[in-house]
Amino acid sequence: MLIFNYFWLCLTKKIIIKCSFNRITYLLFNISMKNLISLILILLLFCSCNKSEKLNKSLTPNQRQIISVYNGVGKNYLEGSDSIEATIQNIENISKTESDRYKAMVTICRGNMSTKSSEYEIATKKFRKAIQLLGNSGRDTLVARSYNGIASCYKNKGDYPNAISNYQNALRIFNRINFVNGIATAYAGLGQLYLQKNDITLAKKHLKMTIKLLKNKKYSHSYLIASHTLANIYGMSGDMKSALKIDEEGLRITDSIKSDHFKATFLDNKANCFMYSNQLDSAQYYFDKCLEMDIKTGIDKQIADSHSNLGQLALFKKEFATAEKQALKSLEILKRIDHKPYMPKAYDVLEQLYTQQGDYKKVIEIQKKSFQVYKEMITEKKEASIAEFNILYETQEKEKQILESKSETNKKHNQLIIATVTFLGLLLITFLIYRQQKLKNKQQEQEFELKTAISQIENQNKLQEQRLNISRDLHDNIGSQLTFIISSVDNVKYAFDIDNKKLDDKLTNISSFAKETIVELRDTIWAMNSNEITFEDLESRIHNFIEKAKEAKDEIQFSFETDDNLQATKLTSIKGMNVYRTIQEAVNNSIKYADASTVSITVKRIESQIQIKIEDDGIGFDETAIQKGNGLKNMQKRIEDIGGNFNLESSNLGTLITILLNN
Amino acid sequence: MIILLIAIVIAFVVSIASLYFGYSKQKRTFKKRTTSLENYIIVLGKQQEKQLNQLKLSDFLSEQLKESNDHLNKIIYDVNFQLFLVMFNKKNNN
Repeated sequence: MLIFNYFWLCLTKKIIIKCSFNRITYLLFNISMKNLISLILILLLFCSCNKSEKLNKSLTPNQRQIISVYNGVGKNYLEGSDSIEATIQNIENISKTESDRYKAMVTICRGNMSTKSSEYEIATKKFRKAIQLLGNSGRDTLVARSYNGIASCYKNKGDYPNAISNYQNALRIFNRINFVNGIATAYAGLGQLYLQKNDITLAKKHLKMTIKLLKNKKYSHSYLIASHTLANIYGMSGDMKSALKIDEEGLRITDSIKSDHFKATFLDNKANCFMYSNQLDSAQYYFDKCLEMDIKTGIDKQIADSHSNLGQLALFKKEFATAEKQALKSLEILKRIDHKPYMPKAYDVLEQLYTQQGDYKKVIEIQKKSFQVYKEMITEKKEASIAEFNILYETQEKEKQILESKSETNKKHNQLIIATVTFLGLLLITFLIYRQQKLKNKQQEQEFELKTAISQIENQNKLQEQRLNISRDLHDNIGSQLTFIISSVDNVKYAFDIDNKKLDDKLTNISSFAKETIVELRDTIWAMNSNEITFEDLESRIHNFIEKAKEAKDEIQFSFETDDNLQATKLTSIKGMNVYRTIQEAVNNSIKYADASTVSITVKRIESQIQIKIEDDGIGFDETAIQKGNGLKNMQKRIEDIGGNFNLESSNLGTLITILLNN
Repeated sequence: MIILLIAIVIAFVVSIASLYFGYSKQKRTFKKRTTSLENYIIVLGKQQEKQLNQLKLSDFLSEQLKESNDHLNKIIYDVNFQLFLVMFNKKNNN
């Protein structure tokens, strides 16, 4: 049944997957055909679907038939189907050409049938053969089922150590693959075993574990086995209420699944409850019904048990002949099938009967036989090995728990590490985001400051430009006015014959002064229009000035020398203008007052300074005797205004003016 | 768990790296922008300096022109005086 359930579950899952696949494919195609990820998903689903379809298609009809029978046998063999023997014979024939896996399945079916017919030795051999066939095929569920089958046989034979050992083997495999139904089946078997051994505590523990595991699968055989065995325990301990409650639920389930075999077990329990509650007629009714069903299902041990129960009931009714007959019938069946665990019950009926009849000779004889059976089942050696198995199993369980505990600790440790890493990472990211935001704000502030400064400078420049434009217009106007004055004066002088010398000089004075002013105006405008003035510009401008001066005094020799590396040195318009005016004034003085024959101008670089020398070989003047006039004062002031140094040396051999400028 | 831890660490490393590069990029971009603004300020400063020099020269020239104007006025006054004398003498002679 469990195997059948398992396969049914797998089949259902496949159908669900197929349906889901069709729906998902349709949706994905409609939602986004262009989405690459969806396409990959669809392809993956196609692959998986094709794979499962291929798996189904790869099974041959014979293999399918074997699987079908294997699944069905689990359900049907307990219900005594007549055709099952023929079916198993059929698949046994067809499995000869199949792989070991299918042969093992058939062998397990055969083992189950042998167990049903109480042929425990044969059943054990079949299960062992199945394990051998499966070998290392990885079919763990089939191997574990075989161990369960072997354990069941040993349990029925009363060989408890071997039974426990095989149950534990099955449990290990089921636990490893986490197959809940298998685990529950093994626990149910162990529960029955401990009940047979009269170890009520362990029996209850295992049965309750089975019920707990299968609380959502109440229609499974293992749940029903565990339920009726637990009800049996409650009945034996006098808790009839609990026992009857479980029996009623069991009967409801067995009616719904139409299982005569399990219904008989719950009826048996119910009858026992009535018998020990002294409701003998009800007990008789249920025992008879139970026997009828046991005969129908054909499970000998159950038939024998029903006979023992009827014997016990007859004893309660003081129907000694019936009691002896039923007990002997039970013993006959049990001896035939070599089912020792139920024998003591039949012997007990006979012992009570002979005791009540006062036939103590037979009592002693029965006691001996009963003791013999008990001895065969439970010896010190067997008990020791059971204890050893239990210790081993408990040790394994504890080790498992320790491992789980360690795993849990590791999990918590890892979780802590993850939480710490996450926290630190988030902290770092928060800090980086904060830093970035702070930088952004700071940058915005700086940018705003720069833009404000630019805007201020631009405004100032605009204002200055406006002022310059006004002054340019003014200067242009003045220049034209001066030209008009010069022209007018010259025209007057030319048109009228002026005898008055003074008047003529005055007019000439106006004309020459206006001309000088125009020259100054032009020089200044030249400087204003030149952003920077080089010594080369200065030289050419001074040459022009000298050429004009030569017209007045052509006997003076002029020279202008500039270091080659200073030719391109640039001065600001202010500096250039002041230097030019100073040189102009110095040359003018030499021409006018010095009576010089040579005037030389030299420009040199001395360390980080520029040295300008204006030298003549004239008569010179006494610096102490002559107070500095406006011309000398102006020269000094101009040089000092531009941060330079002015020096004047004069003797009767000539005059030397030295200017030092910082560059 | 280890895979999850590695995934988290990788995610954080990627985030931190991208934030760090974003930070550096932001700094670089700002530096470029400020450099261009500073250069513009330097250009404006030079222009302003030039204008200031021109204004100084202009002021200086205005001062000179003022002096020249005074001087010219004086000469013209002298000329007028001389003319007046000439005209007075002519009238007396007549």
